[in-house]
Amino acid sequence: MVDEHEDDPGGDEVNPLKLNLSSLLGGIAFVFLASVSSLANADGLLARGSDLGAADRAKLASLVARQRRTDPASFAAVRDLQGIRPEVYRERRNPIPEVGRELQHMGGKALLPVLEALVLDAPRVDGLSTEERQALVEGMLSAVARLRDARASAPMRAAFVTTQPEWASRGIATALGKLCDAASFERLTGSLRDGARRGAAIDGLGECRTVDAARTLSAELARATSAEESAAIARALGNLGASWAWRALGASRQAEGKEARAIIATALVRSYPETRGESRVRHRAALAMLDASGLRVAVDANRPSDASLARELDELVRVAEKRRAR
Amino acid sequence: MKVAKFGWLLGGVAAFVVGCGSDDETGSTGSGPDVKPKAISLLVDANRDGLINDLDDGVDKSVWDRTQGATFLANLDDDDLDKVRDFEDEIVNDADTDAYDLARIFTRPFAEAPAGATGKIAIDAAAAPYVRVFRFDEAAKTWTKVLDGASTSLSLAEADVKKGVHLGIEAKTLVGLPEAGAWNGFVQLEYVVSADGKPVATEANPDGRDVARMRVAPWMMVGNSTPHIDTVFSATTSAVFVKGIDAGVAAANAQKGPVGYWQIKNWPGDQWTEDYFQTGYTLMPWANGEVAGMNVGMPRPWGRSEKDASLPVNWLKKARTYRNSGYMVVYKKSFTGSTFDSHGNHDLVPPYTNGAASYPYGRIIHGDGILDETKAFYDAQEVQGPSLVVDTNWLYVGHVDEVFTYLTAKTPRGWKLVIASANLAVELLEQWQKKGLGAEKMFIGKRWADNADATVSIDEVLADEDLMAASQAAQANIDAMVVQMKQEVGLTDDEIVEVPVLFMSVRDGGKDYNVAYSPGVVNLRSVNQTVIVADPFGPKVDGKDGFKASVDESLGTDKFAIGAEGKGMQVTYADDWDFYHRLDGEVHCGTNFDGPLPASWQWWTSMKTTQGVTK
Repeated sequence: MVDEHEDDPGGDEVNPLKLNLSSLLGGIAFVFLASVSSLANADGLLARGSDLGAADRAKLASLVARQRRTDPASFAAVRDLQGIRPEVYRERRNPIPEVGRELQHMGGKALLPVLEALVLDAPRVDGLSTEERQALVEGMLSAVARLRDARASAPMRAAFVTTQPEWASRGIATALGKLCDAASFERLTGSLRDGARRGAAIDGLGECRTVDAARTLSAELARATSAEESAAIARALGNLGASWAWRALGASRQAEGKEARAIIATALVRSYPETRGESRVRHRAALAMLDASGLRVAVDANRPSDASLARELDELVRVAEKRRAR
Repeated sequence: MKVAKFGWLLGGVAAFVVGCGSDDETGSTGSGPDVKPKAISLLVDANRDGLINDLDDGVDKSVWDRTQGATFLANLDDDDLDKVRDFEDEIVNDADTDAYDLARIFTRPFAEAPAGATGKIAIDAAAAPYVRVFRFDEAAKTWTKVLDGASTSLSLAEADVKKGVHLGIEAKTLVGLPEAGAWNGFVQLEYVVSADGKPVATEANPDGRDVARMRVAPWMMVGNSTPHIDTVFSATTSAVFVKGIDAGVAAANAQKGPVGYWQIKNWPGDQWTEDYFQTGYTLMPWANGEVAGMNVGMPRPWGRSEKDASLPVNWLKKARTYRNSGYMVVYKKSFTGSTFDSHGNHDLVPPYTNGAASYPYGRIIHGDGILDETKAFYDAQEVQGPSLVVDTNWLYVGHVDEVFTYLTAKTPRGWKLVIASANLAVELLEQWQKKGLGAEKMFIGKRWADNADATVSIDEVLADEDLMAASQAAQANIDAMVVQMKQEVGLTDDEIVEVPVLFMSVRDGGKDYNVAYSPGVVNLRSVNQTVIVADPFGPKVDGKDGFKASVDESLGTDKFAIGAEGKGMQVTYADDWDFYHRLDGEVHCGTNFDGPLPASWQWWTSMKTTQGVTK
C-alpha cells in the first residue's frame, strides 16, 4: 500500500543512515492520500481497509470508535507527531525524522490510533517528504511491535501479504514476531519460501522468543544459500537467543529460553566453519548474545577441526565466562 | 597567536646572516666543523632545526625522509583579517604576520661568481600549481610573487647571484584536498648558476646547480587525550550544561592551567559542537625546538537547514579565520554526506606501536560510511593514518564517540581505551535488584524529547525485553569493535575500561539501530587530568547514584590506573539530559576543544613516503 515508487529497498545492502542530506533537507512535498470521510471504505497508510477481512475490519473499527469516544486525545496526539517535523528532528544529533520513541512513550493508548492510521484511515500527510512519510509509518510499526497487543495481529497479518516496500515488510514482520501468537507465527513461517517476504519473515521470527522459532530459524540457517542470507539468519538467531531478553521475560520462561539458546548455539557453531566475512561477523555477534554455559556446551560438542576457528569460538566462550564470573 | 613566530625570523635570518659572516644574534655559529658550505646553494631548513644556516648544506637537500628535508605550510589562515585565507590571494598579506607562514629559502651569496653570471630558480611542474613562491625585497621590505603554476622559473641577475636572494614559499592547498589533485605534497626547487651559457662549476657543485626538496605539512587531528588542550568550547544554549562544563574546566584549570571555556554566541543554530568541525593543526619546525603553524578547522559538509548559513564552513569563515587559524574544505560538494560525516564519528586513537605499526602522533579512527574524499584526505596525510575504520553502522547516530574514548593511564602504553558497556550496566542493575533495590527509580524528574516522563525503576528496566535485547545487541557490536582494537593496537584486556551505558533500539529503513538509553557516560570530554561526564541520573544505591559510583570507581580511582599518576582522574558531571542526551548525544558531542601548537608533534620524523634517496 505504501507507494512502490517511493521504495527504499531497505535491508542489509542499503544503509539508511547514509541519507543524502540534500535530498532530506530539500524534501519534495507530496500528497500521499486524500483524507476520507467513510471509514468503511477508507485506506490506511499501510493497507486498504478492504485488505482486512470484513469481520476483522469491523472489529477494529468498533474498537477504534470506542476509544475515540473515551480518549480522543490519543488520536489527536497520533495525528500530531512531532518527530516528523523538520524543526524538531533537525535538532537531533542525527537529524532524520523518527517517531517510534514518541509513540512508544504513549504506551498502550497509541495502539488503536496507530492501527487506524495504518490500515483504516490514513492521516493527512500533505507536505511530508519521502523520508518523513517513511519515518511516520516505520515509527508506527515499531510502536505496534513493542506493544505486543493481540488486537494488532489481524491487521498486521493482513498487511504482511499486501505489496509493500521491503522496509515496511520488515516492520510488519517485526510486529508479527514480537506478538508471536500462533497465527502470526504461522504467517511468518509460511512466508519463508516467499522470495519477496523471506528476509522480512526471518527478521520477524528473530523477534519471536520461542523454541519453535529457534528450531525454524536454525533449520533455515543450515539451508542458507548465500553468505548474505546466512548473515541475516545469524542476526535473527542472535536476537532470538538474547539471554538478557530471556531473563527479562521472567522465571517462568527460563527453561524455554535455555532450550532455545541451546538449539541456536548448536546451529551457529555448526555453521560457523562455512562462514566468511559479514556472515562470520554476524555469527560471532549472535553467539555473543547467548549465555556462557550453553555456548560452552555447544562449542565443546561441535568443535571445528580448523584450529583457528576453534580458537575464535573459544575466545567468545572465554569472554562470556569472564563476564559471568565477574 | 599560538606560538611566538617572531623567533623564527630572528632564528632564520640571523642564522642565515651568521652563515654569511655577520653577528650571531642567537649565539649559534651556524655551521659545524664538518660542514662545508656550498658556493651555489639553495638554503632551506633541511636539517629541521628551525634555522637556515650552513648546517643545512651538511645534508643532501634533494632527499626528503624521516631524518631530513625541509617543510612548508599551506597558508590557510587569515593574517590580515580580511576574512579571506592568505593563500587565496597572490600577495603576502602582512609582513609582520603572514610572512611568518612562509618557509624561507635563501640562495647563498656567491661573491666569487664570474662576471656576467646569472641564476635561475625553478620549481617542478607537478608541484607548481599548488605552491607560490615570493621574493623579499630587503630594501623595500616587501614581498613579490615570483613563482607559481603560471611561472615556474625565476631569473636572477648577476647582482642577485652575488648578493643572494631571500624567498618564501607557501602551499595553496593540503595534500588530499579535492583541489590538490594528485599532488603528493613535495616540491623540488632547483637553482642553477650559469655564465657564458654554461653552468658554473664549483668544487661542491660541479654541475653548477643545487636542489632542495620540500614537503607541505600534513594536517594533524586533535584527539581526546591530546595533552595540550587549553580551551573547551560549546555552542550550547543550556545554562545547566554550561554550569557542568564550567565546573569541569575549573577543575582542569586548577590541575594545570590555563584552561578556559569559550561560550560561542554566534553559532547558527547547531548545538552539536563536536560534530560541527574537527580541530587540527599544520606544523613546521621552528627555532629552539618550537614549531610554527596554524590551527586548521575541518568542517562537516552539511548544516541543519538547507540554508548556506547553516554550513559549518561559513561559521568557520566568520568566526575562526584569523591569524594562525583557518580552515580547509575536504568535501567536494556542500550538503553531501550523512551523519557519519559529523566529527563525533572521527576521532584519534592515542599514540601506539604494535609490532611494525607505529603511530607516534596517534591514528585517526572513524566509522565506516564517511565520504570517500574524507577518507582519502585522512590517508593522504600519512602521519596519523591509514585510518582505523570500525563498524559504527549499527548505531542510530553512527558515531565512534558513542562507544569509545581514550584516557591517559599510568601504564607502559600511557593510555587506556574506555568503552560503553551495556554488560556492566545490566550487571549493576541485577546486583542492585538482588539487594532488594528493584523499585529504585532512575532518570528521576527527567523527560524525553516528547515530554514523556523518563522515570523508570530498576525492575522495569530489567523486565523490558526489547531494551535488554537492544542492550545486548549493542554489547555484541561493541565486543566486535574491541576485538578489532585489540588486533590493531595490541591492547590487552586490562587496557580496556568499561563504563555503564544501556542502549535502546530505534527503527530506520527496515532495521533496528542502537543509541544510548541511559546517558552515555563514555561520551565524555577530558582536559588535563579531569573528565567531564554526562550525569547518568542512575538509581540511588547506598545513598549515591549507582552509575556515578561505578564511573567514579573506574575513572576516578587507582582501580584501573587511569590518569597520569595512575590514581584516577578528577571526575566531574554535567547535566546534559535535556539538550543532548534525549536528542541522542552527550558531553563530547556538545563540546569541542583546542590548544596551542604542540611542539612535540614532529610529524616529519614519522612520514612513510619519502622522496629522493631513501635512508
